[in-house]
Amino acid sequence: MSTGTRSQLSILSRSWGILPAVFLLLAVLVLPTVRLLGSSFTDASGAVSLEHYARLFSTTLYLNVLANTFTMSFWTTVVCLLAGYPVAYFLATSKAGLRQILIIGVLVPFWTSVLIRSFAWIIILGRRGVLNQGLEAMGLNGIDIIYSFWSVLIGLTQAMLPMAILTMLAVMQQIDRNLQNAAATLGARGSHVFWRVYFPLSLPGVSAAGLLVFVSSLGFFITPVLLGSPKETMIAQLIVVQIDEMLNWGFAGAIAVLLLGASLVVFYLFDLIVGIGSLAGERRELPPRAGWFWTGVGKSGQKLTAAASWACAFVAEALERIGLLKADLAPTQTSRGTKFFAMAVIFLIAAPTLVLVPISFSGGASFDWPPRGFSLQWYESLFDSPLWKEAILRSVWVGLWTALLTTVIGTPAAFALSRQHIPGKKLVLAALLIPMVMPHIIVALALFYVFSQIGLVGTSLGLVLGHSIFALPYAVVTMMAVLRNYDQRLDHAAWTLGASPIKTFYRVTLPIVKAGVVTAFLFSFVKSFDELTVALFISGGITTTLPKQMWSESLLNISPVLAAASTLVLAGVSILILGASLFGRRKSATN
Amino acid sequence: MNAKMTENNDKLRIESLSKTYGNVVALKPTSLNVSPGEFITLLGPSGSGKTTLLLMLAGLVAPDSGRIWIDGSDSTTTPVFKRGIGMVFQNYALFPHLTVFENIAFPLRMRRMSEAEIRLGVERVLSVVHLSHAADRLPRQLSGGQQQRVALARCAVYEPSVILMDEPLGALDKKLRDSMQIEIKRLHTELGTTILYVTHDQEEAMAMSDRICLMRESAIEQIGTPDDLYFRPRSVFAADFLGGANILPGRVRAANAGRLVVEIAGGVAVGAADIGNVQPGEMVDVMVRPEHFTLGAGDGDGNRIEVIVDQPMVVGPVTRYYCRLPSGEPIVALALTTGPRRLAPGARITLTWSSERTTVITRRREVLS
Repeated sequence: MSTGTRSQLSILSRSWGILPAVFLLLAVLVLPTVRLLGSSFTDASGAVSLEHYARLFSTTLYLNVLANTFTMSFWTTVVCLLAGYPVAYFLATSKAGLRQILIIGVLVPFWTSVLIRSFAWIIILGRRGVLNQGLEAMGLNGIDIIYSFWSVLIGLTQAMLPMAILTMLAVMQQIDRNLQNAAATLGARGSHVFWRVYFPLSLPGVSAAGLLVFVSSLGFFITPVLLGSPKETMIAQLIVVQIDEMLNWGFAGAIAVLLLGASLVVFYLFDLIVGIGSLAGERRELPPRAGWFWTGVGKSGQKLTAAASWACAFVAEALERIGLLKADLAPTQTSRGTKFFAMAVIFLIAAPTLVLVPISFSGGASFDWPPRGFSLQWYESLFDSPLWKEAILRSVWVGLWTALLTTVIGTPAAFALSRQHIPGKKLVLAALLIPMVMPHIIVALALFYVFSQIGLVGTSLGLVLGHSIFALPYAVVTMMAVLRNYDQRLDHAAWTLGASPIKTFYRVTLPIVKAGVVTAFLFSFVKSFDELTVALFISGGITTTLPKQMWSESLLNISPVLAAASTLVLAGVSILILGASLFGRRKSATN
Repeated sequence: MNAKMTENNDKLRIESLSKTYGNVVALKPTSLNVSPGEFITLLGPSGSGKTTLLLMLAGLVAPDSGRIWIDGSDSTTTPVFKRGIGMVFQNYALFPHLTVFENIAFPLRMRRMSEAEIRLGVERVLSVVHLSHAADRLPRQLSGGQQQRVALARCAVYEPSVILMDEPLGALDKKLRDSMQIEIKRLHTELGTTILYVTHDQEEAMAMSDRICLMRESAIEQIGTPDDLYFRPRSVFAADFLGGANILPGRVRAANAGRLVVEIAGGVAVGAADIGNVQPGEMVDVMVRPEHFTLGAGDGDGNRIEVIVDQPMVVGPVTRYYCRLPSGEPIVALALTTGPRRLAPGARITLTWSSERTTVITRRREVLS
């Protein structure tokens, strides 16, 4: 670092790996979003105008939908955190073998599209569905909850739970088990060990999960369309209607701005109270010279946490003393009640989707439960129809290219981000992760807007580019997790033994991180194969994908063909995810 | 205090305590008594059962069989939080979300002490460990040595009757470890508590303990004062584990008047102190510590052997001579480094030592108490 030019050169040579990813982000995410937002400020003639916003706020209709969206997202978040926390706790504290089995029950739904899982809820919650028939068999009255607030809440919660659990689990696995033992030797009974030591330490995971669930829920449209009534309309549905039925770019853009603004406000409030760093697992550190206001907010947050933990601890202690909670558990032991609850939640996440399997073999013509007779007619009609066949092939094709593109772009980015000190590293990482938390509908809308101007709508290339943006964060995060455990001294050893950097990469680095590359490829494929939002806008006419075809079909006619298609997707996703986790496990076992 | 106490004033008593994980024996039935104020070290290689024993005493692991008495009352099934035992963990286990003050206050809050008592207690121990200035810091803002001192303070603040320490200095570098050893010894004397200390470092054990409990393969190998273990090891393992040891196999030629004569390789007769219960003709091992040799012919009445120097090695204040007997067995001798001149490889020298510094180890495994 003797001269400025040399250090600049070395920064470039170290950071070239992130350049393709940054370019993709700029071209396919940032630029289109900016253009779309810009279009919301122009009228039909192209002149700058606020007419769309005037319309947006001229009636209470849109604000009511926004309020409705917030209410739905809020309750989804609350239920996800309350139901997900014990599951994450159970997974974090159970033995490695059991955890690896149970986590499959969370991972497969995580990667299965919400579309398929919503179909399953139609069968279960329907007026003559699985639930009501079960209730009647027990001599109880059936309940009518399909197409209501409750069915949407159930669908959304089940859709979001895997993400909530995985986010909290990531933080809980970092908590040192010895802290609980230490607390116990210092005289803390079970209730105090949990509430005053474990719970405060797990809070960053809880708040991160809460934020992700809330913001993701804001952009949902599949679940309210399939499981709700007009009363449950959420804001993303309005965007779909504006584009699908009116092709009104400006107004759709204005609604997108409303949604984006709402998301940003939530992010801002989160950062204010909890600190955005907790998303990346960092603890809040007040800057040394923070103003009195921020210090005050931070301090009162800490005080509030402490007080809440303290109160919970004493309530739990009281329950222990009167025998409602077991007091003589070892400090790291999970109570039987928690285990049972966690298992039940995992069951509710994983099992409902399976009702689609018997329906797909039904001899009848509807989603009725139980299926009548056995036939392969729905699979036959699936494979006889050129439309479905075309859609399946298209999805596989687009998925493979998406996986290839994201792996090729994501691998060097992950290397650069996890191993080098490069300027703006945190910013790049944050930008890469945006597609995970930004409502998909906004990105899809923006892409549609830009692609329609350059003729990419209805092409496979357009789909691949759109899907890559959503698959990239998963690929990069997966790769970085593998690279974090990679000992760079192995490279140094190879160099001293006479291998050139390129030979070192192929002979030493790549064989070791291969599991990460393969996993990233599989995840990217699954992400693309399952993707609906972008496909909804970008795939036009004949270039439909499988999820898009299922969506269109479901709006026209809900028939067991959908169950057959869902079963195929479900089987494919399960095999790939199981394969990916087995592959990763075998690799880590041999290391 | 009460009748029970006078009858049996062991601070800690364990009787036939054992633990098995699956088909792995973590601790064979083991008994041990600890007196009030004693500093006792569980020493042994990893997997020898010392940590399992400690965790069972703390109540973090339930024993398969056996009983534990603390202050004369049976505590085998008492839950951890009611045992009143202090424990210092290997990685300190400080609560990362609490300040130093709150970490130390934690056990007092669990005991429902008043705010004033808590303040007083915490400030007292903070000054004992010289950390009064760091009360408001979080654990991660402290150095390793400071974290260690907080862990000690958190343990000492509620004056537990017994403190268990699980390799508390394992993560520190050599210099810091030395000063922390002194600090722990100081705390031990000042607070007068009973300490059960786990380590695999024999120097640490020798330096700090009143008694050492040497463990091997899930059982107690030998228990005694550091001098006992160093000068009178009862097995080759014990001799080897505590410091350097030259082990010479031999046969007892005579045993009389408190003195043994053992014939070692090359027909050399070696005199040794009688350890009792040894018969003439029996095969035994003779142990001599490297530092007990004198280089060159010494006093006439001692033992002597001729050796060939292979390699002298200066390791600072002492020089280590790697030698061998004419028959080939390796011998290590230690001498002070008095100057830059030393014996050259190939030199033949005489090593002499007194028969009092010669320990005979029988090959019969006996049941050790």
